[in-house]
Amino acid sequence: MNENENLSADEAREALESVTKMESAGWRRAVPKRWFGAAMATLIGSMFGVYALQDPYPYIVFPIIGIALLIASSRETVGAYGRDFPDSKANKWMLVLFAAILLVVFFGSIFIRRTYDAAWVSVVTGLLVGLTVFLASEHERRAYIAKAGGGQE
Amino acid sequence: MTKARLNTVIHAPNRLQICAFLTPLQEAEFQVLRDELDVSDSVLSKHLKQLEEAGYVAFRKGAVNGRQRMWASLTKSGRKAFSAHVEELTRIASVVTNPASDGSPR
Repeated sequence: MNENENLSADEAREALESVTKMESAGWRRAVPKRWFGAAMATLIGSMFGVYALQDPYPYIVFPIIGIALLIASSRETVGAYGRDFPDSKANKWMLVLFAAILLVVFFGSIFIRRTYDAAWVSVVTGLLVGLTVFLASEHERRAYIAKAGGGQE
Repeated sequence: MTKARLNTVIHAPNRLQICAFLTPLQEAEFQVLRDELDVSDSVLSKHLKQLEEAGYVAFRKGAVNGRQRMWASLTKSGRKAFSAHVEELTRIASVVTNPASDGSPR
């Protein structure tokens, strides 16, 4: 595939400019919608909050189905979307850490709710997790906008 | 002028733009790519086919509201090749500001 070619510095710079322009266009197309972050936060938060009910198991399936439907429907309608997993190792580890913390909080809140029969623990956990997910989605949204060259707020 | 090791599949302007556009994305729809590049369907198909033959782009077909749609994404080797190509372009572009990196005999 590789070939020796004569290319001037100006031609290379021109090519790099077009690369930057198109990468920005890609980031701009992939900026997640605010409603998507809010909906995802509500669904994930309700996965935690549903344990406030005496018998949560028939209901836990609804947020899970909701998340799957939300991802599938938004992807099919937007025309382009960002990468599922981040490029850098640091960001991948951040994602793994975030998922691990969520799991610990999930099982921890269920344990406390059952041990002390404290329904409010699940409600508060659901609200806090929902808020955290929403703030994380806003952070991601701003990062996309910055990479797209701004101007989308 | 400087001798460069450029990827000939990626170096064509339209294909370079396709790779650059797909870099931050998981997938993009054919129509979106066509609009961003401002080319005809046939021109885009031709370039995507060349990238697919090189193993740089993969396709997925899906139906939305009964309409067939095609999605394109960069493969792992496509991302690697594009990244190497951009590195080489950056090296060439820096030659004027840093003549020592030209590598040509003085």
